[in-house]
Formats: sequence, C-alpha cells, structure tokens
Amino acid sequence: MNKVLLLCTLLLTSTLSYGELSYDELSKLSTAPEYLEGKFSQDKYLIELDAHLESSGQFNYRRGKSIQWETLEPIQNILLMTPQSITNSQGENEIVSLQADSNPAVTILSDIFFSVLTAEWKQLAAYFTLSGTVKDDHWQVELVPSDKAVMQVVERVQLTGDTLLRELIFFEKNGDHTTIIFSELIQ
Amino acid sequence: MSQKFNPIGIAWLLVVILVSGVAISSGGKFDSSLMTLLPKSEQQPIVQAATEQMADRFSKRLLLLVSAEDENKVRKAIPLLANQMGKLPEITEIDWQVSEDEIESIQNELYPYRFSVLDHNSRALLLDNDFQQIQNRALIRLYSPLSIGKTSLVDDPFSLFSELNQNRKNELKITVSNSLLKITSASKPTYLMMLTLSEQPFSPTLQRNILGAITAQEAVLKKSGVTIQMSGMLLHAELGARQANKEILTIGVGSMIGIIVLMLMVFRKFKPIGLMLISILVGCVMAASVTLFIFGKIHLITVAFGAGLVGVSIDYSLHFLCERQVSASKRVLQKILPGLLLGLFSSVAAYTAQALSPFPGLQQMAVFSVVGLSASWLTVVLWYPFFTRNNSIQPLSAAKKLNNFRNVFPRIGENKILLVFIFIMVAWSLNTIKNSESLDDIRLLQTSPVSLLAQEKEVQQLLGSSSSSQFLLLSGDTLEECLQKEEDITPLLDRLINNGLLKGYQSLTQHLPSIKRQDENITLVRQLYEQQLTPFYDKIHFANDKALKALTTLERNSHRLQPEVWLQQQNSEPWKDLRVVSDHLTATIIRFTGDINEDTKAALIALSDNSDGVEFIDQVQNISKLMTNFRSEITGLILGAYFLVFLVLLARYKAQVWRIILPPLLASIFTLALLVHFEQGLNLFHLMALILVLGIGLDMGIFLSESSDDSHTWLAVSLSSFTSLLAFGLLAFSDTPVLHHFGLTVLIGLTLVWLLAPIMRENIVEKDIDERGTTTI
Repeated sequence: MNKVLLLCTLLLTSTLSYGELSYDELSKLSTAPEYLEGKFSQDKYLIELDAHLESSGQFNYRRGKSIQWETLEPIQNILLMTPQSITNSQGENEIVSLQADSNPAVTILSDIFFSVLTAEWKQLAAYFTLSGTVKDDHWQVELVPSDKAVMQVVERVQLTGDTLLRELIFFEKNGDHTTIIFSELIQ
Repeated sequence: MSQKFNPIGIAWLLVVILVSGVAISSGGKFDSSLMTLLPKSEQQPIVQAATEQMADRFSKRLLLLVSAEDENKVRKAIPLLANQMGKLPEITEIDWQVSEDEIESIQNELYPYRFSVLDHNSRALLLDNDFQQIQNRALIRLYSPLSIGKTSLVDDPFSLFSELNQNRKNELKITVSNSLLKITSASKPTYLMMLTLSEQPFSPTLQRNILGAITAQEAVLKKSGVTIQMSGMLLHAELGARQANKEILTIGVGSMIGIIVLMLMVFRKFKPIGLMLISILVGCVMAASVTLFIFGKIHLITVAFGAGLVGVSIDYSLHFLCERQVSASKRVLQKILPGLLLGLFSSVAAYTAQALSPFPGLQQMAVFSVVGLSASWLTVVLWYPFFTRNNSIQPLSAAKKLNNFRNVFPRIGENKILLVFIFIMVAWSLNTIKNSESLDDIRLLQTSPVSLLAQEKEVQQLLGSSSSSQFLLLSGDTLEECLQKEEDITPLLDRLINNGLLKGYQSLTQHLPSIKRQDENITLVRQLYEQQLTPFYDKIHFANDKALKALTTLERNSHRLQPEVWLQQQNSEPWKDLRVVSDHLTATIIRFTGDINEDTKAALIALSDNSDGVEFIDQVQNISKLMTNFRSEITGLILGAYFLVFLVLLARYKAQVWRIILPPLLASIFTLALLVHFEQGLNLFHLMALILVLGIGLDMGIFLSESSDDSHTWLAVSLSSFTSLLAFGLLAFSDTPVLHHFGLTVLIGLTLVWLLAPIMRENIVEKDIDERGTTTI
C-alpha cells in the first residue's frame, strides 16, 4: 500500500515559502496545476538482495483524472492511475488491472492520491503527521504515518524540494527504501 | 330447578377440564415459520437447513450506516455509538472496528498455502502456459513505485501471495479506514456498524431496548449532522408488532365494544353474553389443546384463521338463546336440534375436506376448526339448557323490528325485475372472475410499509450485499465433492457475469479450493519455477544459487489447505456459512450479489437442471408457489365439500334447497367479483375468508328453513352476521395486507348474504301453501 508515489506527485505541485511548516500553511501556499509532466529516476534498495534496482522514465498527471507513470528502463511499463482503477500495461498488454470497486486497497490509494492532488491537505492530515525544516530556498519535510493501515507498509517518507518537489525517499518497514528524483518538470 | 345438569353435560365438563389441563401443563408452542406449512415430502432436510441458515444470518443482525457531510464528525460519532450499544445486554456483538494488525495476521494465515491456493488470474495464466507473463508481472512489481504487499525473492519470487491478497474480493463494499469500516460506494462519508442480537428479534422488550437506545443516540447525533440508516429484521419485527398492537387496540377493542353493546341492546341482560363467551372459550381451548396433541405446536396462521370459527360457533349460541326467549326450556332443543345438527355437519364437512390435503398447514387448520366447532356445539347443546333453565319466556322487541325490516325486502318469487337483475349480476360476476388474475405474491405476507422497505433497499445497495432468499445449493456426500462441483459450476457463472446477467457471486471455493484443485495448483507452480525462475533471477542479477533455495521452499511449503484447518482460521469467518451441514449431509451455497431478474433466474435454473446435485433455491418463488398450491387445494376441497353438503341438504329440503344454497353462493360469487374489482387479484386469504362467509350463510339458510322463517331465528342469524362483521369485517381497515384481505372479504360477503337471505324467502303466506303443494311431493 504505497501511497508514497501519490503523495509525492501531489507535493510536486506545491509551492512552499518560508515560515512555519504545517498542513494549514501548506494548504495556503499550494496551488495544484491542472497539468504537470517531467522525468524521474528511481533507485530501489532491496535489503534482501543488498542491491539497488535502478530505473527511470517519465510521468504526467491531469488533476483529478489520471496519473501516468511510465518506466522506460530497464523494463517498459506504464502504470496508469485513475480514481477508479490502477492499470499496469506493457505495450498493448494489460498486465494487472485493479478496479476500485472490487479492491478496497485501490480505493484507499486513489482516495488519498487524488485528494492530495487537488490540494486537500486535510485529507493528508488524516494519514500522516508532518515535521520539517526550511533553509534558504530549500525545504525538507518528513511524513510519519498516523494511519495504522499506512503504517503497515511505510515507516516514513522524506520529501525535499524548493518551489516544487525534487526528491522523495520512501522508507519501508522491512528496511527497503526507494528514492525518486524528479527533473525537467513542466507545468 | 326443574332441570338438572345432565350427566353427559358433566362428562363434557370433565373432558374439557382434563384436555385443557394436560395441554396447559405441557406448555403451548407456537410456530411462525412459513416453511413448516410446506408438505414434508417436498422439502429435503438439506434444503431446509440451508434456507434456515440463510434466514438466520439475516434475522439476528442489525446494520447501522452512520453518515455525515463531515468525515471527522462521523468518525467521532462511531465509537460513542458503539459504546452506548455495548451497554445493552440484548446485543452480543458489535462490529465496527478492525485493527490493522489483525488484518495483517488474518491475511498471513494463508501464507503457508500460497502455492496451493491461487488467485483466479494467476491460475488462468498458469493454465494457459503463459509463464512469461507471470515473470513480467513479477518484474513490474519489483520496479514499480507502488509495490503492494510483501515480496520475498526466495520465499515467493513471483508474488503469488500478494496477488492472492490483492485479488481477494470483498463481499461488501467496505474498506478499513483508520480501523473503522467505511462504505466505499456512499456519496458522503459513511461507516458501518453491525450489531448481533442475543436472540431472534421478536421479543418486545428486546425491540424496545435496542431501538430506544438507537433513537436516543440518533437524536443526540443529529445535532452534529450525523444521521443513521438501519437495516435488519428487527425493524420489520418491531413495526409488525407495533402495527398489530395498534390494530388490536383500535379494531379489536372497537369490535368488542360493538358486539357487547349490540347484545345488550337485544337481550338487555349480561347473562347471554357470558354464555356466548363460555361456548367460544371452550371451543378455542379445546381446539388449541387437541391441535397441540396432534401436531406438537400450533402455527400462528392456524390461530389467526382458526379464530374465524368463533364467527361460526356463535351461530349455535345465538340460535339457542333467541329461541329460548320464545320457547320453554325443555322444548328449545327439540325445536332447533335438527337445524343445529345440519349446521354443524355442513361446517365440519367443509373443514374435514381440508384435512385431506397434503399441506400440514391446511391439516392443522382443519383439525383446529373441526374440534373447535364441535366443542362449542356440544357446550351449547349440553350446558345451555341447564344455565337457562330459569329464564322466562319473553319475546324480544328487536326480533319484531328486524322482522318488519325484512318484510320490506322484495321477494324473488314475485319480482321479475329482481330476478333479471340477479341474473345480470351473476353473468357480470362470473365474467369478471373468469378474467381475473390470481395473486400469490409473497408481498401479501409483507407487512412492512414502503418507506421501511426503501430504506432497507438503500442500505443493501450501499453495502452491495446479496440476497438471502435466492441461491444455488450444491449437495454431496463430502465437502470435497461439493467443492469440486462448485469448481465445475463457477466457469458457467463467470460466463453469466460476462454476459451481464449476473453482478457477482460468492462461493466457498473462492477461499477454499478443493483438494483436487490445490494439487493441480501446486503442479502448475512447479512448472512455473522450472521454466522461469532462473531467467527471472538473471534479469535482476540475483545469485543463481538462490534458485535452489527457492525450489526447496516450494517443496517444503506445498501443503494443502485442509477444510478443518481453514475452518479454524479467522479468515474463514465471513464465509463459513456458505457451508451447510445437516445430519450426515453436506452442501455448499453460492450466493449472488444484487437483484436477480427473470432472465438470470432462467439461466440459473437451466444451469442447475444440467448439473447433478445442484439446485437453484428461490425462497420467494417457493412461498409464492406454496400459496398458489394452497389456493387451488382449498378451492378444490371446498367445492367438493359443499357439493357433499348440497346433497345432504337436497335430501332434506328437496326442491326448496335453492333457498338455502343461493344466498351464500350468490354472495360468494358477487364478493369475488367485487374483490377482483377493488383489489389487484384474488389470493389465498380471500378464499379463506369465503369459507367463513359460506359457513355462516349456510347456517343462516338452514336455521331459517328449519324454523319456517321464524322472526327470532332471523334475529339469531342476523346477530351472528353482525358479530362476525364486527369481529372480522373491521379487519378490512387493517394495514396488514393479510388481515385486510380477510376482513374485506368477510365485510362484503356477510353483508351480501344477510341482504340476499330475505330476498330468497318464500312468497307471502297465501301463495306459500300453494307453492309448497306444487313443488314438494
């Protein structure tokens, strides 16, 4: 149940200024653009293998409609999220498709994700507690899940950014962690 | 004083005391299950067990949906509400929260069986030999930023367990949101709370306590914008009880007062009322006792309709008491005994015919009615002479007035226009009845108002829960056999889903595959490992020596999930009742999601016809069919019985027999036609009421003929009609469909009988002699 991606994509759109960091503050500052696209590189550390799985690709999102996460290297895969479903496909092949109405996990995921995208920080506050530091133009935020279901998977989430979110590190309970770095963001 | 209490009367008293005493000491048992009215041979024990199990699931549960516009307000309201509900001793269980640890531990129960219990998709891919696809799926999962579920590259490299968990479908549209049960399909934040009652929801105290507590909480919560919707048998039971109470108070008390006032006006004494009560009481007590001896318990429907015999039995009392006003004590019985005997005979014949039917319900009603009528009759004949020995002869003024009224009526013998009019009416009625439709709908037994049913439906829709009255039953000698049958059937059901005929289904094999299938699964997984494990590890640069380790893990973990083990697990909890065990028979149930339309029903019936040991159970249909059968049985038997009665009456009254037969017969025909007109169609309960109309109508004709149209006999039969009208006719105003149908029939029927009887009288005295001379030989 990784809400991480959802969460971070949303944070990409938030513009932060100096001052006290709180959800209230964030909701005052953030404006969610209708459209955003860019590139990402991902590094997944698996403790079991003691190895890093690296991948990269591009993404775009339309507010409230869809998020497309396309991995180009080393495998090709498109992950398409809508409030109704999550679909994994490879070329023409649909590999995994989860419908929200038959899979509660999907419902939670898209629930959080899309509410965050539309800058409903209140919704996010239901799942995480936030702490952070602001230094010069850069800020760093740490989200610790307060929701027990999220806690089952996520230990903490680390977000770094300036006007937009630039980096996300997602720490899993089992010791794995995933780092995603964003670049070439176009609003 | 001139007359002693006769010895047979004393013997009868002893019998009454003995029989009722034994019955009371053994305790009365009431039965309200509609299924017990079905003939035994038609109901297999396993089907009965299954339907009871399904019904029980519904009846002891009360579902609360708590919602508000503001998420936080609902979330705060839920624990408060749960706390209040927890204080009630009538509630044994409250389900409203699940801890996430618990969910994880429940999910992990199946981890050891990840190679034998596979999700639908994985199995389909394996069966297609599409192993490459499974490898791709695993790679995607590994690289995905959204890696749902746990992955261990050695223990479960292809994430079969995560796939299983992910694809495990939830029966209800519920998700766990911060430990609370959230409804996913609601438009505003809505949470579920499920209450389990300590007993069936029919106790008034239980209904009052639970609903009282909820209503109190509802009022408090309303202030913060939180509303509660409910669904459950309790609501229907409570409403039914409340409605019945209200009606007993208004209709019951109303008719009681009416009857007492009427009797006081006619007799101007309390004693006759007391005497009538005694005969009715003896009749009811004896009927209930004997029915209990024979059947073990009394069905509530028997009591309801058996009570109808009160209307007939009061005939005997009234006939005696009215005659006593004009005849000496010794002469009363001599005068009226032939009429009383014929009256009893006609009613007993009609009810005995019912006892011949194969329906336990009808048999019970027949026994109840025959015993009750005979007991009342004996009480009148054996006890009344003693109780009324000192009464003085004093004609009743009411008799004179009523007689004058009767004389105003035109007679059929001297009024050709009336004759023509009756012919036209008969023709119209018969035509109407011929074109009518019978209505044997379960809704007749539905006593709840539309608003409650609508709320119920809304809750069920939000939850996406399934019908408890329509399902597939698969029976076999062992559970394994049933499970294998299920696995044969489910592809056909999947096809129905694809064709849009079915929304979904819940079967046991979705959670517990047969051992045969588990064996297949393990073989498939072995093939997958042999072909794909090394290429997969190569792609992620995972050391190849780990492949051996993974294979060893597979072999060590290739246990089958045995049913006994599964039943001990927590994850089986929601699905356990898909298994039915009755004596040494085993069956499983496949439930359906949403409403089932006629096309789907036809498809399911076709499907079950083609498969051995598979049966489509449709309780709605069963009950409707039961009512149709009941109705045609009753019609046939009553017609037969009255033909017999007609033969006996013909022997006694010869050509004059039509004067007795026609009033109830015409009244019945007209009543049926009017009912077709006013109601949507004829049903079982109209016909049950007609038995009463026919009974009283025939008694009326017999008594009048026996007494040569005496004015006190006319008074007696009129009073009998009025009391029945007051007692049963008023039920026409009931909100309970069954009672309304019964009451309306009695109301129309008895009024018509009473109006028709004077019309059918012989012509005025001069012609009278003439006619008798020519018609009787």
